Amino acid sequence: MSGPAQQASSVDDVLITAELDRRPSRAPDFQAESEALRDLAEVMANRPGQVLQRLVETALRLTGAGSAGLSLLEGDGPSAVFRWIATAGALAGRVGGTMPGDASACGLVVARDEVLLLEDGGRLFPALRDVVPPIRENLLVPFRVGGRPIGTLWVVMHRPSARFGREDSRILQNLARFASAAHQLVQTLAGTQRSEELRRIALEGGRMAAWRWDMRSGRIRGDAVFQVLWDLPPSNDGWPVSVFASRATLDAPHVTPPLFARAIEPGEDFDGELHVGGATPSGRWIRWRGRAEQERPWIINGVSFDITEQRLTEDRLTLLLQLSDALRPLADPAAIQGEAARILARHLRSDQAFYADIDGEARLVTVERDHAAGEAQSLEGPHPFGRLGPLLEALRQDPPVVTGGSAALPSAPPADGPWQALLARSLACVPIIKQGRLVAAMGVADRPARQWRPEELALIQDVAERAREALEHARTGEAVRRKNAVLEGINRIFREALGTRSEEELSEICLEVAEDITASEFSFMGEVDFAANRLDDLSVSARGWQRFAMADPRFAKGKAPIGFTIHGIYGRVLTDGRGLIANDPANHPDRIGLPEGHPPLHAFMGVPLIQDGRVIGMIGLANRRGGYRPDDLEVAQALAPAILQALCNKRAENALRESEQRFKQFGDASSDVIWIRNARTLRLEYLSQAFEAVYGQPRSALQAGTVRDWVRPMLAEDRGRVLANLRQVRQGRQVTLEYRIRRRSDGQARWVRSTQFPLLDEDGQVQRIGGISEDITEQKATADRLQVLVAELQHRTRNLLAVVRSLADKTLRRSADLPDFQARFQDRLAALARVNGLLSRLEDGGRIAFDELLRVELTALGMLDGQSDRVVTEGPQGVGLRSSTVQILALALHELGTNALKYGALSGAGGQLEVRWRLERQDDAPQLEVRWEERGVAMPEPGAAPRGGGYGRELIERALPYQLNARTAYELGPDGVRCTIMLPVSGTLLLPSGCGRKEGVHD
Amino acid sequence: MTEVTLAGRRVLVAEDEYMLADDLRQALEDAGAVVLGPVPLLREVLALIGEHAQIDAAVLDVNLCGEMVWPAADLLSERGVPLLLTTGYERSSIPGRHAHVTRCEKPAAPMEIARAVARELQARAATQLRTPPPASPSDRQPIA
Repeated sequence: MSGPAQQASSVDDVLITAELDRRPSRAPDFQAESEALRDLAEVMANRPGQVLQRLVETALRLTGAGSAGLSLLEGDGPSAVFRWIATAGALAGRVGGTMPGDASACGLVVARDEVLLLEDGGRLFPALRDVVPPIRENLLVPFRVGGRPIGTLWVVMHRPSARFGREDSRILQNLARFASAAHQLVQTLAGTQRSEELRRIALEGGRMAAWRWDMRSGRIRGDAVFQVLWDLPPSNDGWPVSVFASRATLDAPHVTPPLFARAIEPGEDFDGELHVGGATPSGRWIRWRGRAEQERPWIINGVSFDITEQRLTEDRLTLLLQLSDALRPLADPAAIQGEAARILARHLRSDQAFYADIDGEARLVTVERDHAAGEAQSLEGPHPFGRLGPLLEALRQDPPVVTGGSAALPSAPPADGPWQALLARSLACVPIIKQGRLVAAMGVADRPARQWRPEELALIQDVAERAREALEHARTGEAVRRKNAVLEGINRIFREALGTRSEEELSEICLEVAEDITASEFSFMGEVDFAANRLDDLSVSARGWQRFAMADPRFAKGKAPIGFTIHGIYGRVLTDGRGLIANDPANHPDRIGLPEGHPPLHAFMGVPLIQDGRVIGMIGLANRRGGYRPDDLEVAQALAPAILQALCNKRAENALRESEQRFKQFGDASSDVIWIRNARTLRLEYLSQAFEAVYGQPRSALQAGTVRDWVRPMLAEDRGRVLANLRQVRQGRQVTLEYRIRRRSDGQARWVRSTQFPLLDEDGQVQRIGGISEDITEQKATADRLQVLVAELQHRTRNLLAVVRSLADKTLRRSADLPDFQARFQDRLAALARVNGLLSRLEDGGRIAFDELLRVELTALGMLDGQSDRVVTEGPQGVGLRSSTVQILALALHELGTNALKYGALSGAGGQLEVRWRLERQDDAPQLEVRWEERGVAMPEPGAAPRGGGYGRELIERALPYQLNARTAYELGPDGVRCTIMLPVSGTLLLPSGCGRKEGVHD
Repeated sequence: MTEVTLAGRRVLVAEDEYMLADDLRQALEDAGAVVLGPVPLLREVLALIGEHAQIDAAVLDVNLCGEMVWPAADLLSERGVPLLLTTGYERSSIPGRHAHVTRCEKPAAPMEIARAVARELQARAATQLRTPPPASPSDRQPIA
């Protein structure tokens, strides 16, 4: 035999009960279990003696154990032993054997009155050591009768690898409960059988009563036992049937057949059961058996005996089986509570029953669903402890609380609401106490007159235990389902987040998920505006909007309400940063009332949204039917971070999209080509619209985005430089370079200036390369043109200075003295300044009209003031002069005018000046012909020195032809100067053109 | 300053501004030179060069009515004619092959230019008599 490897020194070395919760458990097979129980019930009904054997066989089968058995304690004190009443499996042969009362696994179970799992129990209990096959694991549950453990139901694994699980423990406990009832039935039946066999002895012993019922006279006569059984006064001629009918318990009509109101056929067997009140509080069940006489069928002879014990046991079994069947398929705790209450009430023929969870921490009593018919008030909902009045304290004392009749609870403290109504009735309520703490209670109530019998209290206790077990099982299942629901909810939120555009839309979905999982009616979510210390950006769920009908314009449908002061119950969530449940919001210390139009609030639950340890908002959920439980808070708190995460993701995603959009708008609006390349692959990641204009080809031409595509339009001699620079950027340097491209659309060569720079990642590595390129062809041309302009300006300025020098020389040579020089030179310099002033005001390509030049000069000389009768100017306006001709022409006009003022037409009275001009065409070239004619002038003698030094004449006759290719004539007529100038006025408009081309001027 | 003498020297003058051209003609003639021109257009300068086998020196305005004088300067350089450029431009706008040519920046006095022509001719004469010594840098300095 393979004995245990080592001895165990203490119980803890062999007890591994906690393992049950850690091991993976198989799913319950309710079908098989239900069938097994029916089978057992049937065996019990027909062959009660075999029911315990069938029970252990069932345990063996349902748990897959190697052996199973039922052990009962026999005897007292040190001599007590456990006898193996029934066994199955490998150890079947040992039925009838015993184990020590104390030093055994059974002893331990009975002592502790709890389920135990032992591993290699032989290490501790010598009696187990020699068992063959060896006992590896041993799962035992207490076997109770009348609530007291009197034995164990056990299963054994012999194979080293085989293990028991939580499910095995549950099955075994269920069977033990059945066994307890079955055992009592067997005991009772055994007793009954014995009494039947010993009828005569029993008759003599006063246990069975004989009677004779004369249906004609309506009287029943019986012996002394009969008289005691019915508690009747002595009588010689019997008692009227009405006496019996009145003693039958009225509240049991459904189990009391109308024995006293039916016709009996001759020879017919008479059999029935009756419940009667009596000396004992629970009354008695009495069985009638008899037969009508053949000749006188109105006479029935029979016996009666007390079947109270049997009846009660059967009753209890029926109820437990019924309850098992009803609760098994239920998973919802509320449904389980409701069904247990309904079955219990029906069985006890009462109109009210309830099961209440008692939460000592939250100081809440919660009835999720109860049974209340007729006048009974429902207890559904959460109730603060205070509301229960004296009931709670009474329940804490452990024994069942009974009111009605003479029994009553103290009147203080007063109960409230439906509890007050409950305590006014006849109540039977049993506490469920686990580890010394009151955790639940189950009660039945009826009209005040009803009195509760002990077996009814026992039934309530049974049902309460069974309901609690089912609830725990369901809640374990519910916890798993809830976890799944949370996971599914989170899943849904993130899945929906992909499809939604706006935060608002996503918020609504998040709220819907939270509502679904917590069974809330509506909800909201808000964000704290820290600057204003207000709750802002409220999202209200779709269901919430349906219920809001508020007059406040801040609650326009679909518009996020803002600006809520942080106070009230929701404010508490934000300030404390902890989730809270307010199942009685109207009496909450932080209550501030509801605004008008706000839907009624029965229950509220709030959870904070916490980011980086800071409360940034909250979710509020409302009106779960029956109020919120700690489990709901757990769920909401598990969901909150996921919701926050999803919303933050969405916000970041939207911000990114906006920033991308902005970048794209910026890129597309820019006239510069903006591009981004991956630094590793050098592939193009972004290319702005301007590329198409600058390169003259669609962006799609660079679809592949390779560097080769990029350099293709560049002039071959520039490509090497461009690539070398790109390598530099890749190494982290910024470069600016210019290169030429051949523009695809028109084949033009264009200059491009490109600034390229590295874009670094978080580690400072070059991740991308950015580039900004512009077409600088025009810029370059402008720069070139500017250079030309500057050079031209130099040239002109220096020329002008040279002219001034020449003018000074000439004036000096022809001046009489210094004052004469000063006057003349200043005049000429002023003329030069005027014409240069005109020129400088010209825009590029502009022209000075001849009439303007003439007017400016004559006006400057004062020749037009009040002399309109003596000075005639006539000719077309706007004849444009080439700017290169203007200066010398102006000087010539100045000299003519000065001479006319000093010596000519305007020097004395009577003289006249006419200046006429016209536009002429000669050989298709436009010519300006100007005639200057003075009349009425007293002319000097011919041959005299020219007046005024002859400078004007020189300019007309020599300078204009030399410099302007003009043809001129200057004549001293008999009464004044006559001068004609033919001047080309067309040609190219460019600055450095327009010089004359007459043959050189020679002396 | 000593009297400038350019007696009998044939000096070509190209200048598009009448007053400057006339002053320069006057100054050169005063110094005894025979002035070829002055003419205001490149076309006319080129024609003059073609017409005259002997040109002793030339005073050229760089910009003649918008045309640069370089083709004429090239021709004259090839013929070994000493040149003098009158200009309002910066040195940078003078092409490299004429960078060594003496320049008179405007506004230079006509007499100064006549003197510069005389110096240019003397220097040339000196080079032709002896082994040409490198011209002292100061010779290259712009006048005025």
